[in-house]
This record gives sequence, C-alpha cells and structure tokens, in this order.
Amino acid sequence: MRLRRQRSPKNRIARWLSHTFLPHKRNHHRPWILHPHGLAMVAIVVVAIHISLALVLHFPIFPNVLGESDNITPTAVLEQINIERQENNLAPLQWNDQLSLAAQQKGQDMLQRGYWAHTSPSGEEPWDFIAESGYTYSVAGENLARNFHSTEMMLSAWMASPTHRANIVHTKYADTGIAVLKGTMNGKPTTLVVQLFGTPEDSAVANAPELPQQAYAATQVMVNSAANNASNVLGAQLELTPVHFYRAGILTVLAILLGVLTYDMLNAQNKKLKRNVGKNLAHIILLIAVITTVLLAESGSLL
Amino acid sequence: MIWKEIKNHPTDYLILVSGVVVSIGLFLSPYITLATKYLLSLFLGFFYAAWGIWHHRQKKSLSVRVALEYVLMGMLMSLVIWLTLEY
Repeated sequence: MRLRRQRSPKNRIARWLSHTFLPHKRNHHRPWILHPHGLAMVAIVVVAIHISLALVLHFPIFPNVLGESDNITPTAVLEQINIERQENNLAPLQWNDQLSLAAQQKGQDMLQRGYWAHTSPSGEEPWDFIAESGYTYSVAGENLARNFHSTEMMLSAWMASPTHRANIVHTKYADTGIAVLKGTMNGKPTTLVVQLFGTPEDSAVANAPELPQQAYAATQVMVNSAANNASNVLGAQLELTPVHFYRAGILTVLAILLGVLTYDMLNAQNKKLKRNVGKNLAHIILLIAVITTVLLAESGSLL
Repeated sequence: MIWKEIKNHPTDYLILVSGVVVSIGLFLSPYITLATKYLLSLFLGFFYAAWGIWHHRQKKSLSVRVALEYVLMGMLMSLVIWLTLEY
C-alpha cells in the first residue's frame, strides 16, 4: 500500500521556494527559475508589472503622476538659463508674457494634435505662435524638451546638445517665455517644456548682420545619462510615482535572478557538478549590464 | 572555476563583454535616438542568443535545451530594456 503524506501549507511554500530558487536533486541541481519554463515565467512577471503600471497610469490612483514634472517650473528654468548665461558673460534673459503665452499655445497644440516637432502637421512654425501672441521679433528661437524629471536634468541635456546650447547662450536674445505642460501624447503620459527666445524688433541687440532671423534646435537627442541622474538627485526633491515602483519591481526581479544564478554557479563549483546547461557566468554578465541600464536609463528627449 | 572558464575561452568572453558593453554604452549615450534604442534592445537579445549557441557549438555541448535557455534569456533581457524605454 502506498501512503501519501499530507504536507502543511507552510511546508508546501517552503518546498516551492526551494524548488524554484535553490539547486537540489529534485530539480536536477538547477533551480526551476533557470529552466526554460522558469525564464518564460519571469518574462510573464515582467510583462505583468508593465501592464500594472499601464493600468495605474490609465486610471490614475495617485494625483500628479503624469510625467513626474512637479520639479520643473518656468521660474526654475529661467533661473537656470540665466545662471548659464551669466557664466558665459551674457546678460540675463527677461521674462516676457507674450512669449510665455506663445509657448503655452505651442505646447497645447502639440499635446492636442499629438506631434513632437518644431513644425505642426499643418505647417505652423514656432514663429507663427509668436506672431499670434503679438510679440514682434527680429530674432527668435525655440527649445523643446519632454519627459524630464527635473529642471537640472533638462538643463544638463540642453547644454550637452550644441544646437540647444546655442539658443541658450545666444548673444542676441533679450526675452524668453517658458511653458511647462502636462498631458498625454499618443496615449503616453507626457510633460512638455517649450521655451521661446526672442528679441523685439526695435531692440539694439538685434542689429548684428550675422544673425539668423529664426533659430531652433533641430536635432533630436535622447538623453540617458548617469550625470543627469546625479543632477536630479542633487537638485530636486524626490517624488515617488508609479514609474519608480515599476523600476523597483523590475530591478527586484532582475536582482533575484542574479542572486539565483550566482548561488547556482558557486554551488556547482563547490560540488563539482557536471551539467549541460547554459553558462551562468555569461548570464551574470548580461544581467549586470541590463541592471546597469535600467538603473541609469532616464528617458527624456529634446527637440 | 570562473577564471578557468574565462582562461579556456578568452576570445568568447571578450566578444561577449565587448558586445554587451558597446550595446549598453549606446543605450546610455545622449546622441542615440529612441528608435535606435529599441532596435538596440532587440540586437542585444539576438547577440546574446547567437553568442550562447556559438559558444556551446564550439565546445560541442549544444543541445536544444541549452539553445532555448540562451534564446529565452536574450529575449527576457530585450523585453526588460524595451519596456524600460517605454517610461
């Protein structure tokens, strides 16, 4: 007669954890999570975390989660811009309400029509918005940024881009208008920063012959840098958002996988196990690289 | 054992580390567009799977299960980076 011993729920959980994460005879000395089925399950968990975030963002539980841009304000942008200009021995830019209105209208147009470009789908240029606001300019420029988490981070990116930097430290600009807008663009939470530069038509600084009439930063640059993260930490208060929880979740999954791989590698080494499986060392190299990427990646873009 | 493994296959691991480091370096570069980064995440997965299969084939230890392990690990990492780029 064959007897089957009843296990308590506690024992079952312990057995499942051991089977999933630790190498032993029952899993052929390879934790189940490292078997093909286990890796597929990890992929499902990663997708589930992603879908959870998408749902949280679609049905916001937390207020102010879109774009996490509470750290970016027009005043802070102006202050930082003027610090950069002072460091370059240039006069500070003056706040201009008409340019700010034009920046606001340009940003709203981008969000409503879902385009990420200096020129709208119907061909409207930044200068059209400036003209509509009633500001008559002799020189004008535009810098755009989206989905940055702090003013410092955004400024670092602008200053690292030659075309955006050229606008910021342009000798002939006298006025600026800045708008920070939150919304959704093509279904994604988006924070837009629109900065317009200008010099009034009758201004003395506008009479240099080499000046371009209109200038905007025409290159699109993705920003993912450790330096930008550092400036974020230094310059802004930390606000926890679903995106932070998402990254923490993904990093936890990767850290568990890394721990299991390392333990399995050391265990196989100590017990001198001969197994025909993938190289744990190679998996660890790849995982460390991916963890580094997830930690350092801070997406935001310029235009 | 780790050093022995690297010592026995220095070229293999040099190629792996170079490929991974270059991919990650490009990911973190401010001069790479988002579209290119999505392609890079796919490249990294394919590169890793190809590396694993090539490495085990050289050692004559390639089996369907081993190949599947590398393909899944590569796909998983591509997925993680792809989804991270979304936010």
